[in-house]
Amino acid sequence: MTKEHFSRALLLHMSALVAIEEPGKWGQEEILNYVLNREKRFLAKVAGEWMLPVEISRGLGRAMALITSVGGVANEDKAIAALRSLRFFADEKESMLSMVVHLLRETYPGELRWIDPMMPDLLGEQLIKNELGQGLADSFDQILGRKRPAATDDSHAGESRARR
Amino acid sequence: MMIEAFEADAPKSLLTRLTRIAARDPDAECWIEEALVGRLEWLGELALEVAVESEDPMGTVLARCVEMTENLNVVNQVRELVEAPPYSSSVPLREVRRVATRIVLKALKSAVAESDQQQLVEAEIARLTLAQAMSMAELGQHQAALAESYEALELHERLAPIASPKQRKRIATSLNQLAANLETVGRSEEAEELVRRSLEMRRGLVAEGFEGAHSELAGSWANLGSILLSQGELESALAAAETAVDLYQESEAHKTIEGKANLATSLHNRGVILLKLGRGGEALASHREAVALRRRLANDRPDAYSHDLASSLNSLAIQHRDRGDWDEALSVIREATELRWGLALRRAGAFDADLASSLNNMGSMLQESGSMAAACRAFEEAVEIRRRLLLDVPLAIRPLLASSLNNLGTCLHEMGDSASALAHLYEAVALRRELVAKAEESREADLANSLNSLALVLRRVDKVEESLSAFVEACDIFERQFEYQPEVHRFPLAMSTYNLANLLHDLGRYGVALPLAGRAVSLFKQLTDARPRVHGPRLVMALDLATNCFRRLRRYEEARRVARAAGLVLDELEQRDARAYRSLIPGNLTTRAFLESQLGNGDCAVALLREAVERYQDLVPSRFAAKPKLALTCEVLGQALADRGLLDEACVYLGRAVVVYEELEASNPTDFRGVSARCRERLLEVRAQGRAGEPE
Repeated sequence: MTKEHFSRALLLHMSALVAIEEPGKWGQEEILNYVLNREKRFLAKVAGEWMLPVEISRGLGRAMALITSVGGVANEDKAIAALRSLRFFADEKESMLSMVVHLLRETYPGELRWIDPMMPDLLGEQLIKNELGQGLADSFDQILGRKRPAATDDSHAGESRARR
Repeated sequence: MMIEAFEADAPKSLLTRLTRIAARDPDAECWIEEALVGRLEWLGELALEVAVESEDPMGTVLARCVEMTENLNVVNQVRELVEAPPYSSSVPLREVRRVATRIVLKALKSAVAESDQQQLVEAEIARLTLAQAMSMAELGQHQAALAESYEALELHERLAPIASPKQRKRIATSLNQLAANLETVGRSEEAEELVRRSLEMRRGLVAEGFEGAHSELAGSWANLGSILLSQGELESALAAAETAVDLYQESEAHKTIEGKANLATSLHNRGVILLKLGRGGEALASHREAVALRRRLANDRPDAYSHDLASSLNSLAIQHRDRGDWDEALSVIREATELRWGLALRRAGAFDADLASSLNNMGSMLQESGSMAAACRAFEEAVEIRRRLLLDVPLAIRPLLASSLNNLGTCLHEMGDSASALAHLYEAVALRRELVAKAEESREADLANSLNSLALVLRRVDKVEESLSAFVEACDIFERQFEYQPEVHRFPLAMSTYNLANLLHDLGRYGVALPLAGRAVSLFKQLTDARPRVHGPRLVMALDLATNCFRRLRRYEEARRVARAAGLVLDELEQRDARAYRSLIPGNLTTRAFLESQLGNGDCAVALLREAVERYQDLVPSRFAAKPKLALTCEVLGQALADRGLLDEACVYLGRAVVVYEELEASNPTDFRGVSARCRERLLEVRAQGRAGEPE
């Protein structure tokens, strides 16, 4: 089965699930968000069992979105370093981040990486999309390299000097 | 120790996912921009790679980012990458190529006066102007591309006195590109002159042993073939296309991906020309080869070769249709149209013309398969797109718009909307008259086609004289065309001759209709010999018309001979595909029965009617339309038997007729009450007659 067909089949399964739980007309995005909300509730429950502070557990979705966006993380140290690229986790203690990444590893155990991206792609990408505006883009500098600063506007600088 | 958080493939993974997200939600394109702006220097090539693998909208966003970049070196770096394989053939990168080339070209033009290496800069300006023309043409900006091509040629020719082989190679490329652009906008004569110049230069380069000259020479031949095709010079076009195929196959370049793509294009072009020449078998082989090659290319690189594949599928579908493989034709044209919808969705300028062509062809195939409403929708969409394109490239689009209008008109006619059909067909005829008046003789056959369609509608709305004159004009044109290209024009000539004969027959002018019907028969006979399944039923139709003319003229012997010939054709067709043709046979049997009775062969007539009854009886379970015919034939046979004194058997058949009529009457009393009563009455009379004759 091709990747695309596989995604479609999974979407069908998801829509069947949604139709059972909440009958009505659903678009693709609504189905995906419905499934993501279930996932979020599940994560919150696991976080409670792990006795993770509530404010930290609110960042679990963003952490998973980051890991999905880069195709997974290779080990615990890298996972912690990755989390630090998000402003949300930047100042957290190592021990707390370690708990977060272990929780994620237990929930999304890796076959190829220490923590795998959220599957199927369609669902993982919806999670990324939802988190981009919530601070996920903070990590772009670390993933893609720091932006080159824009060139100075020479004519503007000259004008300022002339005014002086 | 500082830990590297992300793997080396993390940037690609992020850009790929951002591209896929934005493909589903255009509002998310801003995140690709956010990722690329300020990072193009090191992410430029990765972005190109992602565009090739994940396609839109990475390319269009990258083009916007290049536009925003103030660093000319970065723009130039992207331009150099995108000009070379594998990125040069990628459709999603067309906008990047266009923007980067424009920016660098502008910078070079403003720097040339102060440069101490003026000649080198001028040569680069000439080269980039040509690249700009190519990228404009790729995006469907044909008029702008044409202006740019002229400028590129002028710049290259100005450099000609110092021309190295490399420079001459570029001049030849300029000439070839300009020719291609001229052809796209319908100026094929100017195009021919330029492509011939390019051909000469490239021949020279081949003779000098210049690297890569062989495949470029093939490119000029391919271009010449396509230009000659649009001029209707089919034989010369074929010779040029075949030379291109041979050269591509001989050259080392055909082992590369680009070389394979070029070879596929030549095979495709050769197929199109062969098809126009009526050499269907060879055309099909050529197209199949092109499709196989292009499918392999498109599997590996959908971003670069899907549009080529769509183009060959489009032609292959036409071939299947012409061979009578309707299902195959529809499935292939659907694939082509779907591919082209996808392409035109993001790059309407570049792919709308192709999409209109596939819609037009799909409409024809749907029409032939009887899906009239779907066919009309496809034609309407094709007309709408072509009307839009007419503003940009009027010369090239006018004949195509005329074709879609013609098809839409005939489809509406078949759906019973004669008023709308007439409006579209009048417009098609007017457009095609304009084209013929502009000395485009190759368009005469198209005009005849539209006249033929118009005449059919005029006939339906009882504008008989106007219809007659349109049919006559169509036949005259097709007869002239037939003299030059019998293979190509045999079928349309046969159809329009038949239509004219049929109208004359219906007007009661049997004597005039008869020779025309005979001409149609002889043309359909030739067509049937080549493709019995496709043309056999049409031959029968023409034979029936000739039979009717003889019959009306009371020339029963000749009518019988022709009707028998029709019967033989039908027998042959039935042997090939009983299900498809068995419904045509009983009609022929009843006609022959009538003729035999006119010629005094009552026994023979009765035998033929008996066979017709059994044939209709077999048809009834699957075809409701056979039921009234069954009733009528039973009635006629019953009457014939009664006339011959075979009263018992006559009662049997009249009884069968009554039963069937009564069934018909139950569902449609208006049409069948009268005939049903008449038949019952006749049955009673024959029964009474029988009783009267019985011994006491």
